[in-house]
Amino acid sequence: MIQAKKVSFSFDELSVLKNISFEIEEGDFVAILGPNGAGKTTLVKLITGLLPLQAGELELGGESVRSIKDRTFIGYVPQRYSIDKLFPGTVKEILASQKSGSLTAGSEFGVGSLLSQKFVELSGGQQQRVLIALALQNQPKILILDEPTVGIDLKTEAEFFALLKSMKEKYRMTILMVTHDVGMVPTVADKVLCINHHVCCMGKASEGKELLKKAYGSYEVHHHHGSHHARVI
Amino acid sequence: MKFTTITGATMLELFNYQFMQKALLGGLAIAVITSLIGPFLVLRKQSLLGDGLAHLAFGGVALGFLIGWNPFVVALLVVVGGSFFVQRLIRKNIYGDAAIALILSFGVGIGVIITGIFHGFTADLFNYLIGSILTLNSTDMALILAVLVVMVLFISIYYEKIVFITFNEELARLQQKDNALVNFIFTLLVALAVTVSIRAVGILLVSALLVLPTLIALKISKSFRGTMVAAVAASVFAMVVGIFTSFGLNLPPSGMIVMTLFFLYFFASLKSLAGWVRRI
Repeated sequence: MIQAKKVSFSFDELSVLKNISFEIEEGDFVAILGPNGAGKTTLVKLITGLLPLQAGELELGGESVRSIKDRTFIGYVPQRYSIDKLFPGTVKEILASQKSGSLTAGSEFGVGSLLSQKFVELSGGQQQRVLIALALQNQPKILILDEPTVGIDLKTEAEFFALLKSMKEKYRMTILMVTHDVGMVPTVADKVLCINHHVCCMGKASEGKELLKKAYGSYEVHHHHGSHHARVI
Repeated sequence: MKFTTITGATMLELFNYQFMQKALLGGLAIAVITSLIGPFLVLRKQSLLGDGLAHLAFGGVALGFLIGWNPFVVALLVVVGGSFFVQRLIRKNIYGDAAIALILSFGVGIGVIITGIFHGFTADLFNYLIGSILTLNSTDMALILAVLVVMVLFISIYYEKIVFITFNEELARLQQKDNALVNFIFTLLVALAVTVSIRAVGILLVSALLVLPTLIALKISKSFRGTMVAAVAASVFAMVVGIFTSFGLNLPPSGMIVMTLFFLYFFASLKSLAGWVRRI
């Protein structure tokens, strides 16, 4: 479904990704792990086409990202902190603003009761559900999530992952999730892709911790907003 | 400075004067134009774009006087060009505020040089700096009403799409096929809105008409549509009150319009302050 061959990317003189190659099959749930500044967000933005491919080849469903014009088959859930705190729109207005979809997706994610509320006044977990509902309105083949659980409590996070798993099975999507949350990876993802400017490891999610030890040497568990997170260091 | 005084005239009698009819009609149109585009500019963190483009218009107005064309039309052309130039600079990863500073200083620089060479038209140029809504002519009116029609049409047709771009630009780029076209028209309309509002409040106060109604609306509204409606209402109210009180107090309309907006912002802040206190 997603094939990267020797992909490199740099911002001016700063090299962010070097010779990245990997293959993700249709229906895979892949967790993309790596330390801060490793190039995780850059990689997903290259896949979505939000950043232009500079070197190498990247194919989605056999077609080069360079030639893809209609990207509505990609669902993207950006970091929720990217939404402006003053944005006055309600959940209903946000979901309706994406014309190609329908409001029916909302009920599946428990956002039906939130429709009349302002997005910025929702809790972190509720905001994340709205963003997912928005990303799935076009019934995408590929769903990409950028650090979806940052700032969300443990219980909401577990519910969120359960929802994601059921969505994946129902819609047979390929899911890529950028995360720092190593602890939850084996329970939700099928595979892990560890990067730190280059591919450090790729394998089954159940072997994630061992792969990470091999790739980075160690990882630590720390507290983050009341939840336990294993974090790649 | 030229003040306008009508001694003994009642408010209703003022409507009999043609210049007053034009001022009110033009002023209301400008109030609607600027407050329809304002929320999108403010929420896309481009509040100062209006200010930068207005200062660029100063160069355009001076150029118009120099070459003997309608300064308003020349300013419009220069501002449209400048508007696209700023968006291009931002896409090239230059900070938005730095890009605005660049065109702002360019416009003022050109304007000052031309003013320095030809001393004769400084009084007319001053009218553009502080606004002169009471001197609107037929060409101005035609231009303002045309911009109003285009603005209302654009917002009606593309409302959902611009709301989505304002919510998250990256998502919009991915999921809206005509995103580039909507952004193109939006940029064009910002330039038009800035140029026509120069006639009401002048180059120095344009950003007040673009930004203040939105800030007032954000204080009291509970939805995006509510923000749009409240911004238009605040802008129209300030325009009418500003024009009439300027007669009563014998003061320039532009300053009175902006001061009315400031008072509205103050009262809206009190209301939200009261709501905040109630929630504690």
